[in-house]
Amino acid sequence: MASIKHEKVDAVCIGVGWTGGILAAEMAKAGMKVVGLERGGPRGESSFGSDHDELKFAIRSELFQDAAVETQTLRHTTGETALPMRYIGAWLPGTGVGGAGVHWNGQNWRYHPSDFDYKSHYTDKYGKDVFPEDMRPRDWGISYDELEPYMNTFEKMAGISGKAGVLNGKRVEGGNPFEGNRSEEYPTPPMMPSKSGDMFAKAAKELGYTPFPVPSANLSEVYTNPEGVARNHCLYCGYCERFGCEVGAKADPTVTVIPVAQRTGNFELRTHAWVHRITHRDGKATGVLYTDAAGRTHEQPADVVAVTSFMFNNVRLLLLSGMGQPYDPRTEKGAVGRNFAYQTGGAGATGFFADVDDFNIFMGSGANGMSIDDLNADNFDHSDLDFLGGGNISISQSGARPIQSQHVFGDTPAWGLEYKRAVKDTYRRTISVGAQGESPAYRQHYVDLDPSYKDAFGDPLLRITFDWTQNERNMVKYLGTRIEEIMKAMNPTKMSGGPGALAEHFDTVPYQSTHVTGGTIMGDDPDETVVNDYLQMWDYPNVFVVGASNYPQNAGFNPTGTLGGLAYRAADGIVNHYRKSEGPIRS
Amino acid sequence: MFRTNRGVSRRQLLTGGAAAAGGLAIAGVVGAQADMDMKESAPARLRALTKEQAALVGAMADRIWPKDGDQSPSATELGVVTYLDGQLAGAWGSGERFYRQGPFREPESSGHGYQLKLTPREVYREVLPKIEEHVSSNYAGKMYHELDAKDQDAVLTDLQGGKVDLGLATSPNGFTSASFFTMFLQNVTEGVFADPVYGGNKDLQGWKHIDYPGDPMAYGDSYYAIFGHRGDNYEVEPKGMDDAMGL
Repeated sequence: MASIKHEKVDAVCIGVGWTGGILAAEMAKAGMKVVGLERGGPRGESSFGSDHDELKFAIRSELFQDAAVETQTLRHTTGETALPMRYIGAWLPGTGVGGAGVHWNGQNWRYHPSDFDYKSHYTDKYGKDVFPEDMRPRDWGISYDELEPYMNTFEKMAGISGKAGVLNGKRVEGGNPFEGNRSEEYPTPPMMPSKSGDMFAKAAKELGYTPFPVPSANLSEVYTNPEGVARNHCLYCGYCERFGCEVGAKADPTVTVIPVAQRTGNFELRTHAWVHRITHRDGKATGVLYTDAAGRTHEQPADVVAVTSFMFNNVRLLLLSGMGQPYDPRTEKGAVGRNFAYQTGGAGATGFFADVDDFNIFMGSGANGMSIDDLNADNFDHSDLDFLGGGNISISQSGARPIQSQHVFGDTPAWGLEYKRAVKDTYRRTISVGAQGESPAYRQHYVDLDPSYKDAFGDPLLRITFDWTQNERNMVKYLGTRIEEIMKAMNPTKMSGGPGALAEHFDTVPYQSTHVTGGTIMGDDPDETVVNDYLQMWDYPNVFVVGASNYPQNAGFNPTGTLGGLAYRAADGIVNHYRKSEGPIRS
Repeated sequence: MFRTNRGVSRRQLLTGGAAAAGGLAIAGVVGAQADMDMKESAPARLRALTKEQAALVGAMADRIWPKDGDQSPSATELGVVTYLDGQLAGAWGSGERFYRQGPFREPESSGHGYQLKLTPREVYREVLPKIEEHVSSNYAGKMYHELDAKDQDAVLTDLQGGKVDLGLATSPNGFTSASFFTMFLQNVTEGVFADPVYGGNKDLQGWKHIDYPGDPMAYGDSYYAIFGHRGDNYEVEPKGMDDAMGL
């Protein structure tokens, strides 16, 4: 059956979450005719009105990608057969308008200057032999200073609540002393501190660290952004991550950039529009093929194709479409799929405080908390340590919902009368400290197309080859020991914690993090990377790939704040460079 | 100011004055939808489990979450069996959001999660008779609900330790009795602590046990107004979604 062929447009965005939404808005504002193709259904604030339902949203995955339609397969080494992740587990990929930007927590960071120059930094300071043999560190091809204005634009659009630590060259009390230089203060002040945050900050200070408020995409106050989008402040309702925000306080594409794109009159959003292929000829993309809700195939020609469909699908689409050379870990040739990385957990401590009654632990917000950055990146000396990297350490009070927040300590069993009696006391009085650990890239960690398993449409699933290595285990052991010290200094009645540990093998089951990175990495080498510093594909100058798929390795932070910067950078590339001169953008 | 879909203006929320004003004045809002008074409803009809399976599940659940005096009801008193039966009969039990394409392989190493072709409902129907067989073989022909508490706990401990052959695993990386126990423990926890619309957490006694207030909009109180205060311990009679005042 023939496809329905549409009129050519200036640009098509594959996926309308954060990156697709930002690009759509920027291109539409510049007068480009843009079509946004979202595989999932329509969503917006009015979808989230009444359901403070932990079972439905947090456990039965209401807002996440449907594994029955498409999932990923996982193997730990190339010697194994990859098996599908048959249920959503370790990560929570999004679907629907707004994508995972609807149900994220809202923790918003800029990576450090040294994160962008990762390979150079460690080489200059410790010598090139500091890297374990299989590690494949890379510089990003863009510096913190070059990306700073774009990350600032993202923060102003979203209204990020926080306190600058380094502002126009000057250190400022109360912020993160290790952050890269900011050209402006945060657009809104930090959220109200929690009792748990107070206690963490006090203990951290006593131990010589520099605590500061976690930067939050959940507004601390009513805010109108530079584009006139007005939003309410956070209600601290405690139903943040895994849920949509019913008052629009959480920065989410559906309440920020997508309405801006729509009001230009230049943006058309099509839902249940599943893009299966990017069409291309003679080194240029010509458009995309997608199926609609009724199953009809459509052809949407476009001058520019923006691949903005989350890390997994960005890589998968390029592989399915035969664009770029797939990475082969044996030869290390090919760029598409290389440098898969993640976020390293495993370091944390939990404390029970018998005498504290006013945590009000069920109140909170996804990014409400206090952090220390002293043990992240190369903010501390690694000369005598057995690992590279570190992690951002924080305590957060996102709202302890009952099914997922029961803790017992020591020898208390996990069920039965003793357990039941214990949780009666512990639920309201237990808090946890954790870390977002770095995740380096390795030769043998990558993504490609699975040879056996297919999605509901008959296309191969994305196969991930990944596991923990000794470097991460050593790092986590160190971070866990430091976190244990902090928790002890908070003086709990009981606690669990200690040198951190990772599972024997990466386990796809328990939720760990949605911060998957790599596969379409950026850099300055056209053979080893997929995109340049404007996120433009080396091989296809009218294709821009934007996502954490661009990250050559992952830093010790949640990725979205940096990603927002890259999205604005890509938009700049398209609107102010590519459209004027077509062809590769040279910076 | 624009209105939310619940018909309450955001301005009322913004002032944070709900607590001070003694609750939101919500004129004409559609809040609670108490079609069915959970307290007075008849015991729910079983839709997935047989009577025998329900009795087994109930007896096991009552060892996970036992009665502890009149103020501390057991799992079955909280409606956990009704909850679980409803889940098994519904979307989750039928395999919603479950990637069900083959080939199905038992993992050869840890970290691969669930790899059976069975839906949760099929798992329970497969496993429960095997548990009774195990009890019958090891406890002189008895059924689980006939055992004393100590022996019931011993059976659960054996399940938890992967020591009972439920016929679904050929190695420790497969779906062992430990895997089933994890699933069951999770389901019991859900039955105790999910919103009562799902049939468990009867009369909100699960939430009352841990002093969880329930729906944040239940009383129209502003968490925003309370969060920054120290020494304010927010404790209320819990309310679920259906009783919440809403936005």
